[in-house]
Amino acid sequence: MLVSCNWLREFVPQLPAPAKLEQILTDIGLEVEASHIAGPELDNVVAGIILADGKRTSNQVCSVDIGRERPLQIVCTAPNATKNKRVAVALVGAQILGHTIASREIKGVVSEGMMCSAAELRLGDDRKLIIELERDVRPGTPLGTLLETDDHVFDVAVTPNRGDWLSMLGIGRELAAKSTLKLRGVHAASPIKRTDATAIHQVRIDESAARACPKFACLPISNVNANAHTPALICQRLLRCGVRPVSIIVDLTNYVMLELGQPLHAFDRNRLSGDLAVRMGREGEKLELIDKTIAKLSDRYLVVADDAQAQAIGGVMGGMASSITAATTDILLEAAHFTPATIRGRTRELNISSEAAFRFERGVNPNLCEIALWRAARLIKRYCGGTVGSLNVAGATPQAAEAVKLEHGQIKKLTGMAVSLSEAARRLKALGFNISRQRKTLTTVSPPWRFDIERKEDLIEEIIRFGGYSSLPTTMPQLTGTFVAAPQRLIDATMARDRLAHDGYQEIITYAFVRPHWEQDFYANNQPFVLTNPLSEELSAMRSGLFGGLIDRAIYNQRRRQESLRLFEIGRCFNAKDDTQPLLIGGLGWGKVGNALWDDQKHNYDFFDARGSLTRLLPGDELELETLQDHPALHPGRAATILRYGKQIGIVGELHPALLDKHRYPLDPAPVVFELDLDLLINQVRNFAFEPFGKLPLVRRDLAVIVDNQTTAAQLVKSVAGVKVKGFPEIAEIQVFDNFSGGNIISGKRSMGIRITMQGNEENMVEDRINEIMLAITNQLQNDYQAEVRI
Amino acid sequence: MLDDEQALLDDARTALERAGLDDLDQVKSAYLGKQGLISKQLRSIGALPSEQRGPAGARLNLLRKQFEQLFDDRVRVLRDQAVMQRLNRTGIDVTLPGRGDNGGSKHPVTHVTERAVAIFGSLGFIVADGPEIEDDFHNFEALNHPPDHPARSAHDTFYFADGRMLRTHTSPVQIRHMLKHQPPLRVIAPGKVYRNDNDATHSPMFHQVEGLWVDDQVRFSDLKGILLAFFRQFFEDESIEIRFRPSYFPFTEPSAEVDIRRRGDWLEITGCGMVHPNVLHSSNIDPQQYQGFAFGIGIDRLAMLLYGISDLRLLFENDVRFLRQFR
Repeated sequence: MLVSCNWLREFVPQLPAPAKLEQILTDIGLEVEASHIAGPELDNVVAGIILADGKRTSNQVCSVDIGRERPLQIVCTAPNATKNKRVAVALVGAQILGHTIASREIKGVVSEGMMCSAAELRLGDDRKLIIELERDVRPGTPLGTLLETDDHVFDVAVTPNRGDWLSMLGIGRELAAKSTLKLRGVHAASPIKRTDATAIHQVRIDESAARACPKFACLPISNVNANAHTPALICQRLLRCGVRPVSIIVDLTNYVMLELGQPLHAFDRNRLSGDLAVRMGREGEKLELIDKTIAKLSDRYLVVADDAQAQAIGGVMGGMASSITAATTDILLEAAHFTPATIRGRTRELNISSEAAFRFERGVNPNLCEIALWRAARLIKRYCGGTVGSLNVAGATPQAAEAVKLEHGQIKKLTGMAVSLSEAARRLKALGFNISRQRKTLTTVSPPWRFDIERKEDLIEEIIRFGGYSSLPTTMPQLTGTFVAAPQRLIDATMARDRLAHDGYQEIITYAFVRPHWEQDFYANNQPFVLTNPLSEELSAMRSGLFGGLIDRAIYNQRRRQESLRLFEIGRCFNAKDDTQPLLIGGLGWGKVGNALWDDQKHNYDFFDARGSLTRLLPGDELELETLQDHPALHPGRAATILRYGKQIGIVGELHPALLDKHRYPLDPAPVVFELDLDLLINQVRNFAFEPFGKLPLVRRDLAVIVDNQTTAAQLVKSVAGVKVKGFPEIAEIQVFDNFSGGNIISGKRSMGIRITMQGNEENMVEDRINEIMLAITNQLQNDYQAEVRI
Repeated sequence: MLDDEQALLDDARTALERAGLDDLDQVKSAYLGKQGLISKQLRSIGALPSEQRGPAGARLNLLRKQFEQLFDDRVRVLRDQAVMQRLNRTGIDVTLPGRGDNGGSKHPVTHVTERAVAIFGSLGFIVADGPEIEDDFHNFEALNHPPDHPARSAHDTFYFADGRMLRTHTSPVQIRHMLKHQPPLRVIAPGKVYRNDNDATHSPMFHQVEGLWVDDQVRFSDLKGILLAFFRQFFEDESIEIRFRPSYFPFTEPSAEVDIRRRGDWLEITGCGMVHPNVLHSSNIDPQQYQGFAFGIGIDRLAMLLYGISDLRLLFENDVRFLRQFR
């Protein structure tokens, strides 16, 4: 909220200077987010009185008294430059919109200055009319003084629990208490004595609305001039507080709201038919609000209605049909107390913004209704004339909040800071609480402007806040409990990150909301979780996997002339189908492998580089890969599911060539991507257990076999491993060391090299035994895969 | 030694030094071969008078040994040179870059998260986690934000059609953890959070680390002590000062905004407070018996401060030229 320092001073005249004030505001919990001097600079601009206007002359020259011996001659064509008006005069030397005012001849007359509009002085938008000042202004007074342009404006962050801080009175009250300064009463807010007793507007609160609106007060004023000019200082204060001036009646009700915190509404009384009733809205009922929104009402909304229809949503906004217009002569001012629960959420539902609702949903002092009405009535009477009628109040001020007790020792127990009960009582009293003390207990009743005191913790915060958080000691808590559990994990996110980073991959972090077509392209997912209010359509679908982000960032970096990329991301993904949020590891490799460009061993990252990385990511684990042909993102001949003990834990493969189109995901050569479900792996226990190994020498034999192309390396290894359990326990290790096709190998076949490592159990292996084993292996391979041993 | 013998030795030295490995044997035979200069003299001893034979023999034997020494030295030098030449021919340019990929790196946000977790972990905080698509109960209601509470509007929440939302803070993890465990509790919950806000200083997705300590007597002053100790550890700077300012969060009472002074500047760094009794109650923990504190620190901001990153957007652009700097 924007706060004017000078306006605050009307309530607390002895407030310290702005810099000090800023510190105090922050200390009491009203963070000053920004501050500035109100401005604008108005050097050489003074108030003047038009002694004679030039309306009847051809050169429109006015004679203007600026408090000097001789009036100035000023040419002015503004329609409101008429006799006896108090106006703003830019003297010779004044800077107006970048120009320096000088005496100059216009239409044969020397014009000795300029009468200014609000726009010319950067005080508002009006360009057509010159500014009109109040009648009691003395000619010659600098305009900056009149408009308090040296005022300081603070932008303070009012927390949602402190609705009472949404006014000058509320902030002034707290500052006065904190600085032990006197808070002045609300001047000119006492009841007007001479009123028209016959003018009274009847109002009743429907029983169903009594809880939502305990009190509703209204005051008619007749014969007002709704077209009067809003005084310049009032306009400036409204602007400084972020409220745009509209017209005098609206401006004055806003002024009182900013000043006291009580929202007011003014009806055109002649546009109302009959009495007012406060009731709950009805299904199907509609109301056009003053911002032209058509509100569909229901029993969630409190309505102020006349005999014919709803005329306002109580506490939120008035209706267009009964609003003040230029033709208004009789008004009905309304001030009511609406409970926060009645107002909360309503502006969001209606998609409107309302200063009144903003205050009511945070809580408004119910005692303010009458005070605010009289204050507004006096201002209206002063600036718009008119006759004030009789105040009519339906309902009553709700009872004070329930008492909250505080016991000795509770402050120290919660905060670690010792504050005596009597000091606590003093602080609470200063804040307006009603206090009674019984030995070691304080019984407190919060003031009517507070809606946030329900329990002792609330009181304790008030007590230490008012004393200043700076006196809070710094202590260390007593440690209880035991060690943090330290499970031996197969892998967790930290280990995965360490291993992948060590293996050359850069971790990326991308948004979890992605372009919907990524989900389609990479996962054939046309039903992702979709945000109802995304930042944009492009960030509206929740990712079900990490490929989109990886590929997108690979393209981004490739466009920045990177030749080689290894990326990984670990993040939650979201499956709408089974409503799960698994933590996935995704990886991508693209471009040259190795940074040794001089080395002719270089190649582009391919499937087997990814396969190697997976092995290093889950070392000691026998990962199995199975051909995967139907993944939408992956090359059907170069993709695999990754299995661990028969259970699928992920996928790996080259990106599908169809996706690599230059209009889609332009990456050349094709990247290889992989994805693992970390949730499936994270809680697997890794128990290292030592197994003794033989000390006899190892024996190696290589075997080359020709098999069908479809026969996989894994099948051959498995076949050989099967021999081991058929009476050949010496087989210790089986490795594929060669994979060759073409040359003199006939088409459709390939040659696979298999290296068998053997080790005797009790004695060294002899040639006969080795040959026996190799024969068993070749027989098995012939049997299983018609393998032909290459000599 | 006679002068002519000394001259012979000098000549031999010169001849050896001129010779390469292949010529050495020729030089040797010129002195020690059958017709060699030293051999001939040795043979001529027999012709000398008997009393001269002994001294001449001794002199000439010395001469022969000296020559052999010269010869052996020369052989060693030449062989060493030959080995050096051969090794030099098979030498490599040791300044060429090494094979294999350069190491990758973790994201700076990860570095900072792991650092915070390690520091809190050393005081017995355990890591907890929760879903990022949250329900109203965990994200708001249990955290003392009843429906339509004005504090909700500050959250700029992303919603789904079923009424769930992307969590706006890591605080729901508090609730989930407390519903499963009874005090004493020390929990740290790092993770992604989401707000519908996107400009130079706000990312719609960012990272927080939530801290929670519930016990029978942990106090507001302890919260101040813990946070001060943490920031001193985190920045490795014992001169860091801390300041609490009154603030308001529905789920804590009392609440504070925390500033730290580092290198002379006050920085707003976290929000915190004593866990609101309603929150304990919603989490099946008896507020009569237990009290505790909670805080939420922005990890992205910590990373920016620790590494001197000036633009938040760099964190999520994932330009490898940025990421590689955190190897």
